[in-house]
Amino acid sequence: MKSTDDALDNALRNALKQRLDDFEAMPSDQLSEKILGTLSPARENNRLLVLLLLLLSFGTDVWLAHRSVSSDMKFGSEKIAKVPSENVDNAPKVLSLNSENRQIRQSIKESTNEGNTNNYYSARQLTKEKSINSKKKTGLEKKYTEYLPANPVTRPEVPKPNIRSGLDIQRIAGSRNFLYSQKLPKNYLTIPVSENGTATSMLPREGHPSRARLIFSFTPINTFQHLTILPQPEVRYRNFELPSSFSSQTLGYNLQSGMEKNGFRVLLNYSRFRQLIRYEIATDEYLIKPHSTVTPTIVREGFSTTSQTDFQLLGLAVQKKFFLTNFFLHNLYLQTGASASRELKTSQNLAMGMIGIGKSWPIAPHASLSLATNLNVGLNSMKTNDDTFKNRFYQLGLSLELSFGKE
Amino acid sequence: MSLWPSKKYDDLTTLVRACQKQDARAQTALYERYKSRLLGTCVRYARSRAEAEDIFQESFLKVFANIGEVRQPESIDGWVKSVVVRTAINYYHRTTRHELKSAPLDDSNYELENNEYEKIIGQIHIDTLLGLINQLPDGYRVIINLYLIDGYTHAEIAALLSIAESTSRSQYMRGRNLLVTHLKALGITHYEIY
Repeated sequence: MKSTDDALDNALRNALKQRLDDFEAMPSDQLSEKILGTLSPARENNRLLVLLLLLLSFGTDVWLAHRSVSSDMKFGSEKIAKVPSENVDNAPKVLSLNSENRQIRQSIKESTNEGNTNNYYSARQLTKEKSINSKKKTGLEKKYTEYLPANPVTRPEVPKPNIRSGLDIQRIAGSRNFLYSQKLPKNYLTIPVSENGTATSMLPREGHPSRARLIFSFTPINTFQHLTILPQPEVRYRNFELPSSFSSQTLGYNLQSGMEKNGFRVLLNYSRFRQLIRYEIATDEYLIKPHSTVTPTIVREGFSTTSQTDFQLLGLAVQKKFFLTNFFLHNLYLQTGASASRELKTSQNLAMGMIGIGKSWPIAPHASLSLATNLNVGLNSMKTNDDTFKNRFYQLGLSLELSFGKE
Repeated sequence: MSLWPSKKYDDLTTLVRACQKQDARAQTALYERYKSRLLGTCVRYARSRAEAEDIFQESFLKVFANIGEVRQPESIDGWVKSVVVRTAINYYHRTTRHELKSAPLDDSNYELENNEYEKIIGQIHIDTLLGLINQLPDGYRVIINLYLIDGYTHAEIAALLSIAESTSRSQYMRGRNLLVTHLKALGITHYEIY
């Protein structure tokens, strides 16, 4: 009896060990994240550090953009403050607050005392020169002069004032107010027109220094893949089922934030997308399917498996924007660049090349909205979580981008 | 391309040493190395997939909490597996230790030859085989796993389960008979269908 038991034990042991000793089951991504997330506080600290870096980058960008805008607003408000709106006598009082403008005040006084409009224009001209001098420190005088009338003579005819009547004083004040208002920079939404009549508002002006702009973009991406099966000993794959070209299983998103200057962009890049592959692993079991009319068919059995990997990439992207000047493509831009990213869970690196075409629209002073179609091409491959496949990605995205700051 | 300095754990000793220093990358690498094999072990010991995942999670937390105690990194494979087995046993102790269904010791007349059992086990679908083992009462299932698959002796099993060696033997016999009965039924069905 004992020998029978031992023989049975051995038979069962051999058979079970053969089937189950190396039996493997794949934990879900959620379970893996749960375990790895509770492992080490350092891992959480790393995520916090990444978040802090993102916030710091974004905060710096906003601060720089705000600083750029506020300096312009300050300059404009000074000019407005110089203009008395109700009473001409207020002008010297306001101007006296600024010692640099004493000469201007004197000129204005002279112009009103002598009743000479030409002198008043010379006072305006003086204001312009002073303003330009003050702006030389900031290096923005070239840009500013564009908004100034090239020749005061071309301005509308202003009636000659007669200082002896109160009514005339009011007219002088009104006229001056009008002239000053003419001197203020135009609305940024004004579209300059080039010589051939093409609107060039979004084109960079040659010879003018460009300011850094804050860029923030969101891009839904659809991921295609070139799949390579990594060889596994004694494993036969079959019946692969990849997601259709455009489906919810291939959708992801890409977030970018950074700065642009002279068409060059440096962007912090975060993208997330999923890869889902269904397939079967063939077993040594065969199934004979009976058939009523013909000979039975023999089908090899297999068990279905799903490989799902969530890729989370963080990295840097460098891009260059080219504005098209072709008659049919005017106001469009081409962008090309490259990005280097790190997969946050598996620490794999991914390099991608990018090309895209888009168009921008001004939506507010110092802000524009761009819509672009991008094609990203993976320059290297990445393994799935289970080390079974290598994917080389191709991504098609529709980018929605906001940019802030003066051109 | 290397954007960030990427640490490579060329051998097991380096990997274990790095894990002992709480290196997050090394912990991820170790997890990736063992996850599928250990979940497979958990599935064998548990009644269901949910229980297996509970045991799996608890096991890995224990592995990373106690990996500092490993003095010989090259023996990490066996150590990790033993942690999982012990965790599964503890899980069994906590939940259903007293649930033992009795099966008669001598009710099996082995009509099939021993190699027939091997054939049946070798040919049935892995999910079916796991289902058979999972259906066994907890005490039997643990002992079948320990004795037949993981290679523990009855003395070791008795120590692990805090039972007498004779109890281990008798429970193994009952569990084996139950498994054989199920296999026999499956084999007959198998032959009838095919």
